[in-house]
Amino acid sequence: MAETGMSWLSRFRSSNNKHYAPNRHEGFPPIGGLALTRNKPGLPAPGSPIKDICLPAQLVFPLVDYHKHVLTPVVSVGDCVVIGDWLAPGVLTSANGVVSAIEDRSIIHPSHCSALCVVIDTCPDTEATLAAIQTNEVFSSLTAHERIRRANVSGLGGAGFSTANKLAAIHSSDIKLLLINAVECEPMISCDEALILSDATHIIEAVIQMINITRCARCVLAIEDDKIDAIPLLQAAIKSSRQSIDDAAVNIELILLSPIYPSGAERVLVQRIIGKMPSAGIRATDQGILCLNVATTLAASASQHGAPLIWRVVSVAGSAAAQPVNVRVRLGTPVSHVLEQTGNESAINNSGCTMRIRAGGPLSGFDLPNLNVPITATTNCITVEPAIASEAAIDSASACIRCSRCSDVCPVGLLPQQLHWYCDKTLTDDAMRFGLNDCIECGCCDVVCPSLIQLTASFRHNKATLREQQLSSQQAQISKVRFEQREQRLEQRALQAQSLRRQRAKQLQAKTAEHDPIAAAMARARARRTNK
Amino acid sequence: MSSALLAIVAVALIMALVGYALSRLSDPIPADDSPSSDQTEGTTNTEPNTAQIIEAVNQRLPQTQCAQCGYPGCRPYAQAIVNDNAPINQCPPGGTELINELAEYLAVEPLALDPERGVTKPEQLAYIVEDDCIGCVLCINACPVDAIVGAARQMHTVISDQCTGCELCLPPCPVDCIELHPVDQPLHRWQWPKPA
Repeated sequence: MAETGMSWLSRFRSSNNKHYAPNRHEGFPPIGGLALTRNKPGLPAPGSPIKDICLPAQLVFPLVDYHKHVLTPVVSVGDCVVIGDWLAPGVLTSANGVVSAIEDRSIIHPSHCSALCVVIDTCPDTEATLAAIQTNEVFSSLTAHERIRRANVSGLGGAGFSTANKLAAIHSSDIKLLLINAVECEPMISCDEALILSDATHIIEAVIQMINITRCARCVLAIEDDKIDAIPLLQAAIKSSRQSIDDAAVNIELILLSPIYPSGAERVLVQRIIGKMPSAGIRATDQGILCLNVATTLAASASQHGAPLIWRVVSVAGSAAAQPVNVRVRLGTPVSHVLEQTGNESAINNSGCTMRIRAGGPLSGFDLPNLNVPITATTNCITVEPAIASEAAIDSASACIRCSRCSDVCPVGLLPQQLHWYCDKTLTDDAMRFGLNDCIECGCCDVVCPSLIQLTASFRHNKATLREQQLSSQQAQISKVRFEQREQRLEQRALQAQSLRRQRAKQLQAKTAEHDPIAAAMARARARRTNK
Repeated sequence: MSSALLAIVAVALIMALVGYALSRLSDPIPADDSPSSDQTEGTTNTEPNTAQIIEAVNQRLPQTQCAQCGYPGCRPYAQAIVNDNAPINQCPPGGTELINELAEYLAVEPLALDPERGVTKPEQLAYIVEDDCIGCVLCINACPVDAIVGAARQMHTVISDQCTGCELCLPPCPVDCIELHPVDQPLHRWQWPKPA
């Protein structure tokens, strides 16, 4: 009970942060979250480059956008493409080659569904491609934002939202804070840290370039304080950038956060930096905060020189992985190729029986349907785990005892036990009132639940059901309006026809009245009589 | 004795106050979803009038406008339910879910779906086989939501975003070139499964 009371108080306090004197270098204390043991395997030695995965024979590009709507391809089978060519609006090719097929292929998605993909038979890279982009007259006339859009930069932290759209959502004069997110809080995922370790100087240069592009008032680089190898590199790079550039406007604040999962999530990170979580339905950009992942920043900076987003760093980890490693992978590379090149051939052969391959970290990830799925910009990690009987976990779920541990750890201050109660009884309106849509699906509540209830899965399901309901009611509303409009039109047409008929009848009557032969004969007879 | 009584009364009073305060705090949004809250300001009667009830019933209907209920559309059916006491079990697209919802709203007994009216089908869309279409405009006139475009002696096509799958275009087609296709679940509408 005491614990519950304390957490209630602490939650209250962090929403009115007057009590806490903000330490500029440590950020604000988190509302909830979990302190997980640091588990970042496969990091390169400081200063050494990240291993490149060789170009596979075939690359696959799913034609789906951020919202998973299918895109229409702008290429056809047999077309030759070079790096940076559009395959569909929002999908770039990451290698030179020939389009060999446009067909349904399985993709990295928890549904295990397939989607329309462009398959490219690759040719070796040529040096000329990038030079051609740079010397292109159209390219040189593009603004910084347009270059980011042209390079198809999207969030590499895991969400995959288009960076150009993010920049478009916020007026550049309104950017109060540029928040560079190096908080990679989930175990196993270490691609951003690997990027910093291998090339901190370039990252700081990229941050400075983004400061110049966004003309932000303040720039914060947030990183966890347990990344002890990366922090000195960043500090040194910031120091040397200050000396070399000698620009008073450029000031990167390095904020070291205590490592609490999920501080890397945008909303949670904003809370830890400015002390206040954006209210429900409000995005960070609405508050003048532009939050970019380090890898995204690097890609956005590279886009200014014409380099499209064609690769990302992927962590290959997991307890059954041959050797955990971080590798640079061309987007569109099949997972099997990555595993092969990282010495995990046994994982490929035993996938589905003794090993399971997952995309994403242990908390947010999901199992892959097969290993031919292509790496996309959102694939930050591939984990190789020994297969477990998943039924065991489900069987042992028991009733909620309302211990409130879940609400203690909820990083966005929700009451998962209450949400679970409403979701279980399909009282969606009540669940909404308790902030179901604010759930960031981090999985913290699942970890601490002593009854082993699958809370996050239930919230995900209910959020999806709610969205579907809204969608179908929107559809019904459209049909209703169209039906009513049609009825109105038909009624109007009937009225018009009726009035037209009446008018004609009247005209006819008038005409007959004018030339009535009987009336005329009678008139003549009358005239004759009067004349007599 | 009196001090003990005083203590009991005082504690009871404090409890009542705290209880009231907590109950108010736990419910920050005023729960006022009775039909009277829909009314515009100025009207004094708390009972919703007939037009409002018809509108509320119509809102609950699926708006497929399929006329399987025996009325020419969802609004006419809503009017019949409210004005002529038509049974609430005549809407196959709405199914049992709708019947329960209507029964709850109208405070009547829920009934089983009338099998004469048809069965609840999964979502479907009309599709015109363009090679066979002769451009007779009959289906365009039949469509209750104006979801078919075309002109006389020109090929017609269905606007799939607006098609309700009502099947009303099938009987007038003289060449039977309209097919009904089941709606594949698109990726953006995929739902996480319900956990066991």
